[in-house]
Amino acid sequence: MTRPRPKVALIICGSYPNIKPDQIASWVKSLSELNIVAEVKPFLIFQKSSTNVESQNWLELFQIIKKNAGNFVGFVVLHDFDNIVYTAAALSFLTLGLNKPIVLTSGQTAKDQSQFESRANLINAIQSASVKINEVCLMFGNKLIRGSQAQFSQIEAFNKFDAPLEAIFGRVDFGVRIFKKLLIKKANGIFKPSLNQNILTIHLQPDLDYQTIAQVIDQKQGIVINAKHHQHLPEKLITILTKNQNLPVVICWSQKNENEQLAKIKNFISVDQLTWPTAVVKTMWALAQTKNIKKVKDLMATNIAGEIL
Amino acid sequence: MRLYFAAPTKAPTSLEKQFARIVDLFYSAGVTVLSNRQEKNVSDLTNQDLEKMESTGENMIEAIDGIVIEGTKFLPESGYLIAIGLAHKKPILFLTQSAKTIDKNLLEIKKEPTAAKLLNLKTYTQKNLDENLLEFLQQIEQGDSGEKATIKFTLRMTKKIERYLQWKTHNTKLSKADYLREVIEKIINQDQDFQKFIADNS
Repeated sequence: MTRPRPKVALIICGSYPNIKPDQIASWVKSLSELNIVAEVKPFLIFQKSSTNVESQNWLELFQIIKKNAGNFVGFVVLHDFDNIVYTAAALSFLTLGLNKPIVLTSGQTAKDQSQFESRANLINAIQSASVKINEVCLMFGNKLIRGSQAQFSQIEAFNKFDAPLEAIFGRVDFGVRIFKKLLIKKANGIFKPSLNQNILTIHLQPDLDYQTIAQVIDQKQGIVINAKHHQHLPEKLITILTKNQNLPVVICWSQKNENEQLAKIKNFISVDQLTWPTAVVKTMWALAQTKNIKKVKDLMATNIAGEIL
Repeated sequence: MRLYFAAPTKAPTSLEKQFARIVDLFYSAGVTVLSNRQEKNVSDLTNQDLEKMESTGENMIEAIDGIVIEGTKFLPESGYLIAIGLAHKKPILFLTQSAKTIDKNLLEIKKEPTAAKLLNLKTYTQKNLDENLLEFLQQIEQGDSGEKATIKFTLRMTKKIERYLQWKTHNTKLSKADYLREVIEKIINQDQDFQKFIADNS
């Protein structure tokens, strides 16, 4: 007898597997273990190191998922480690309302770990994508983590990414156990699945190139500042960024910033409960929804896709 | 040896009896059984083992030597268990009372050399159930890694034993662990009850 298997789409967005595009279908067929778990259909976004991923690729990913949402119970995105949390964050906002599990994992393995690791990650990801969860998540090692809260783990381990406990909503033991009470309800509302790519990111450090920043910001529609390891902004930077009061400036702190002077500046938006990749992507998404600074501020403060730490 | 036994949590009484028989035979053969039918799947794993797995992300499947599935009644997670078991190169015994209940995808995967070696699809009767189970244990013991000492556990010694092991292995090529393994091998070969148990069931 043959039992019906769930249909899962496998979207390749990275350097693995390193084969010609016309060989991908037969490669998937050769992964016989996967085919016991689900009926897997491959799609190709690109086949280079995902260090090259761009927001255009996220929009392509979204289009494939949206177009095929009715045909598959879930989606697995095969991505390299580089930028995977950015891609996960982007998909979290772009796919709002699609109600499909989207699981990102990698075919890459660390040098000191055995080859079965990538195969196991893939099987666990396919299994997770077959479960009815409305989440964009990362599957590595024995954890299923909310993508918009994931951070690269410094520990050499199978768990390449970590997150606060509430964002780890699935565990692998002899199956994939989903902790349903940790699944979140996403924000209501009609949002555009779009991203504003015209932003500038600034990482705070001594001797910032203020001249270049001053020249460039006029062409930008938003600024995101990584102030994770700081408590204040440099005065020179404040001067430049307050010249155009219509330019949204998102400042990403590691904890709540009580600086009253900054709070009074109309175009400054402080966020302290977002990972840096999510802060960048959410700003791109929010600026695609509205140009109104007050509305951008409201969106940045609202838990849209379970991203608030 | 540690095995994972998977079977439906609700089944007709006749099947429940078979499940109990499978677990009992493993216990009597000295095997530790972890199962989806137990409340806790941790068995003899220490908190330290579990904490290590938790922090490193190691899969529980790495801590076991084989998987046994009773698939007479459909078990939804059996496909996943077989897939992840094969990925981790663990021997798998899929038992059913009727060949008709074996999924064609499993028959398909048997065509691959590696999977064919690891995945045992067996129909069983009352008569040959024990034989199938013991054959599987022997397969694990004689498998690629079966003869390598790969299982680790903590054994605390008295000062007296430690001094004896030191004395016994001093100026030999044997380590204390090698010497202990040799002694245990001898005990296994000379244990007539255990040898009879193996012979009766094979």
